[in-house]
Amino acid sequence: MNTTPPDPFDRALAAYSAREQARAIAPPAGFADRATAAVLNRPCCPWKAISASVLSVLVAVLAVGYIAWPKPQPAPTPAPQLIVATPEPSAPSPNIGDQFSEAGNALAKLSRTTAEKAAPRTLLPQESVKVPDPKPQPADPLHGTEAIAAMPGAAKSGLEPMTGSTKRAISLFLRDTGLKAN
Amino acid sequence: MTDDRELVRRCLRDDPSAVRELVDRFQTDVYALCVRLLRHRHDAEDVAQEVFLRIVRSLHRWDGARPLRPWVLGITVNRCRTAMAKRVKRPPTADYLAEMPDKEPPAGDGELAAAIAECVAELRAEYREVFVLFHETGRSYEEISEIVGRPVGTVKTWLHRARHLMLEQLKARGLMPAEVTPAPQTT
Repeated sequence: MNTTPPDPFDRALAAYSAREQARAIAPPAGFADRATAAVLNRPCCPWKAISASVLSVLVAVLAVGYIAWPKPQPAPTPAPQLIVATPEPSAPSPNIGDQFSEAGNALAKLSRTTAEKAAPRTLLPQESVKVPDPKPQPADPLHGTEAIAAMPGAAKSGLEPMTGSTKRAISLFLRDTGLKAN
Repeated sequence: MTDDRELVRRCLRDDPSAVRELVDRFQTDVYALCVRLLRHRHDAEDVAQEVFLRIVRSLHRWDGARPLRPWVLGITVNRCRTAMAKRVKRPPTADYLAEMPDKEPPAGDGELAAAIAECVAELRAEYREVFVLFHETGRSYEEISEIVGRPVGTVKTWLHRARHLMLEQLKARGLMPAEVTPAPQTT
């Protein structure tokens, strides 16, 4: 038989428990009506509400994305036409290459004509031209002066007075061309 | 049990009378537990209403082989825990709200009972839940175990720690002799 007196804390707890369990806590008036109405007015299917929320968020995201997405730039509105003086198509711009070639042809033609006109007076007859000996001959210092000395007097007077070196050059020229006095 | 299953079946068929019957059957237990855990009647009414919403939404998950009342009170405890967590985050209420009818002074051994009530309010959530369920509503360990979803041993441990903490606080206030030790848990 346990005769130990109860602990004061246990006694206090027992008294507290007895008092609390005896205290009736009733819900306020109309609580059942409010709770029932809240339950019956709830969204019929939570998953439908969740789906609707997700769908609305998705639509919003797509709308924002569509608005924020960079669009292709529209064609610029036609600016006021500027009147630009364009060359007439019937008068094409001169081509400098053509001009050069044309000038070249003209020059060549002119040169040919001039040469043909001058040829009978400047060119010697083919049979009278003697081909000089390609082998150089030893220079003869006296040969030039002898050739000049052999020239007729009129020709010789046109050449005088003349230095020695000039005489020598003329003599060499006459010898090489085969033209001799007489 | 059979009556519970039939009631749940009718509620799942969206029978308004069945929902009303469900509320009528459990409103006193649910509301009283909310008041005891939250210590605030207005908050308790809001949470109790939310509890019934949760109950009806979750009826399809109820195991018909188990009793309905512990399952309902388990939802109540969870909602009260969530409400208390939100209450911690929000700014404290004005002083006049402390003078609510649920704050009526205890009768009889007034000072000690009031001190115990204050100690209960300061306990951590799980200790307060098992203490209230055991000492204030008179539920058994097995029922409490069903309600909080923990083993009976865990419930006993939490209850013992709750008592120990309360005794230390009462000693600190000079309401208990220093040599008093908490009694071992009863079975």
